[in-house]
Amino acid sequence: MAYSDEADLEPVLAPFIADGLAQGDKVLYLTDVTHPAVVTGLLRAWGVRPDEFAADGRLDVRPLTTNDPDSLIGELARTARLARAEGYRALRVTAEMSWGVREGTERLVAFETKVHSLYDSGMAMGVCQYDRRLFDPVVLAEIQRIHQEADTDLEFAGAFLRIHRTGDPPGLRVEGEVDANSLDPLAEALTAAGRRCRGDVHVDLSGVSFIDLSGMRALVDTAQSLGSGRSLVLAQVPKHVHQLFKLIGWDGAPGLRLRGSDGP
Amino acid sequence: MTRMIHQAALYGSDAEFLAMAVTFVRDGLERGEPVLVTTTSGNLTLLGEALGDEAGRVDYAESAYFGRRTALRATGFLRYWQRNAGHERVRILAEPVWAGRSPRDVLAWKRMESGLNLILEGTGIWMICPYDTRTAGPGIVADAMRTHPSLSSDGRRISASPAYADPVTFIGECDAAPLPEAPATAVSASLGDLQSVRRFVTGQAGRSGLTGERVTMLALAAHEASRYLETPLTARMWETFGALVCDLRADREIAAGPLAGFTPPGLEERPEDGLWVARQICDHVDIRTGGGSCTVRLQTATWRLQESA
Repeated sequence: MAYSDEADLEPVLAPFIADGLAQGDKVLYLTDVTHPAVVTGLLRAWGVRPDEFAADGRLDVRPLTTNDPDSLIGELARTARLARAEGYRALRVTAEMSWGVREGTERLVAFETKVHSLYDSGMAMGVCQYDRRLFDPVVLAEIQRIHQEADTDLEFAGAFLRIHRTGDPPGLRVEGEVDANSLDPLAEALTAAGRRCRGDVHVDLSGVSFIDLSGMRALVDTAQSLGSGRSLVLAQVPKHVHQLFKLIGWDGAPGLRLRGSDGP
Repeated sequence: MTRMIHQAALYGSDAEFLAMAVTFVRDGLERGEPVLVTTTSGNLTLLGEALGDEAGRVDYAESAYFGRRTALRATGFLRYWQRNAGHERVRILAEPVWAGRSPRDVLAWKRMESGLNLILEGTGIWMICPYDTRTAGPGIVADAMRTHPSLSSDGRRISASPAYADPVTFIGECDAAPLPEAPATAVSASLGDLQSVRRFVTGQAGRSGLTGERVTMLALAAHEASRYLETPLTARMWETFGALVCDLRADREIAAGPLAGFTPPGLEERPEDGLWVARQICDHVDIRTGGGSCTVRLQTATWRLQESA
C-alpha cells in the first residue's frame, strides 16, 4: 500500500492485524524510521490491544535489522517456518519500506519479486507500506505494477487457500487447503465463475493439497446448479481426491466431469 | 413396496449348502432379479458347477475381497442395490468369513450382521447369510440367530428367528466394553481447530514411518472425525503391533447412533457423513460416549504392512 500520512494506514493495517490475531496467525510488524513504541501506540489507538498480544508472543513489533533483500527474505521465511512449527496458522507481516529509498529501486524490486514467492507458498502474507512522501512516483508505479501482475487474477487469498480466476480455459485455479472453514470463499468463487463463464466452468485442482467432504460437496452442488448442459470440469485432480470422489460415488454426479493429473 | 429380508442359513455339509444356495439363486434368475453371491472360493466353485450355464448370469465375489472391513462391505451391498435401481427385488447370498479372525474382528462382523437390518432397511434386498457350522464356532452360530430376523433352511421359506435381538440392543452389547486405555507412551495434544488436527496427525503419522497418500488419508479421516466431534479436542496417538491408533476426544457427550457413518453421504448433508469417510479409510473406527466426553478411535495399518502387487 502507498500512504501519505499515518491516518491512511489505519483502514488497511488495523483489520489486517486484528483479523490475523483473531484467526491464529503470528503478526510481525517491522519498522524502519518509526520507533516500535510509536507503532505500539498507534495499534493501541486502533483498538488492536498490542500489549496483550505482544505479551504472549503473537504480536512482534521490532525494527528491521537488515536492508539486504536476500537476508530479509531469509529472515521472513525463517520466522514463517517457526510460526508454523509453533502452531500458528501463518505469518502476517507488515513492514515500512522506507529503507528502499536508501537501497535503490533495483534492490527494492528484487525484494518485492522474492517476497511474492514466499506469499505464494501460503506460509505468509504481507502488506508493504510505501510512504508517498519519500518515494519517487515512478518507483511507486513500478512497485504497483509488480503487485498487480501478481494479483490481477486473484479471487481470494487466505492464509491457506488461494483462488485465482483463469481465462483459458475459463474458470478457477484453486491452491492450498479446502476445508469447512474456507468453504465460503470457495462457494462464492464458484458461484461467480458460474456467472462469468458462458459454457463449462473449469477448476484446476493441481495445487490442492487437502480437500474435505464439505469442499467436495461444494463442487458437486455447483456442478448441479450450472444446468442447461453446462459442466463443472475438474482438471488436474490429485489422485487421492479422484479416489475420494469415486469412493463416495460422486464421480458421476450430474454436471460434474473429472480429469486426472495424467490427461483427459 | 418389497421389504428387505435378512436370513441366516446354517449348513453342515456341501450338499446342505447347495440345496439352499441353488434354490435361492435359481428362483431369483427365473424372476429376472439381479443375484450377487459373495462366499468362499470353495463355495463359489461348488455353486458354479451346480448352476451350469445359469452361473453366467450371477454376479459374484470372494467374501475376503468384497469389503475388507465391515463398513466397506455394508457400502458394497448398498451400492449393488443402487446399481440395480430398476428392480424391486435384488438377491444377495452373503457368507461372512469367520475362520482365523481375531476376537475384535469377530465382534465387528457380528456387529455389522446386526447393523445390516437397519442399514439395508428400505431396500428390496433379500439377503441370505450362510453359516458353515463346521468352521464357525458355537458362539458365532448362536449370535447368527440373534442378528438375523429369520432363518432359511431351503433358500425359499422364511421362518422367524426366536432369538432375534433388536439391533440397537445387540450393538449396545457389542460396544459395552470400554476401549483399551491409551498407553502412557502415547503422544498427546490439545487441538483448537481442524487445521491443527491435520498438522498433528500428519506429523505423528510421518514420525511413525507412514508415507504418501496413506498419511493424507489418515489426516482426512481424523479431520472428518474431528468435524463430527467439533474442536477443541484432545488427540492421542500411539502405535501397537499392526496398528497406528489415533484417539480424538471432545469434552462433551454426543449421542452417536450405533450405525453413525455406515451409510454413504447422499444429497442431503448429515453430521455423520464425515464418519462414513473415516470408516472407509480406517481399519477400525470406534465411538464411545459417556462421562462427559465423546471419543472416536481411529485405527490404521502401520508402514510395516506389506501389500502384494
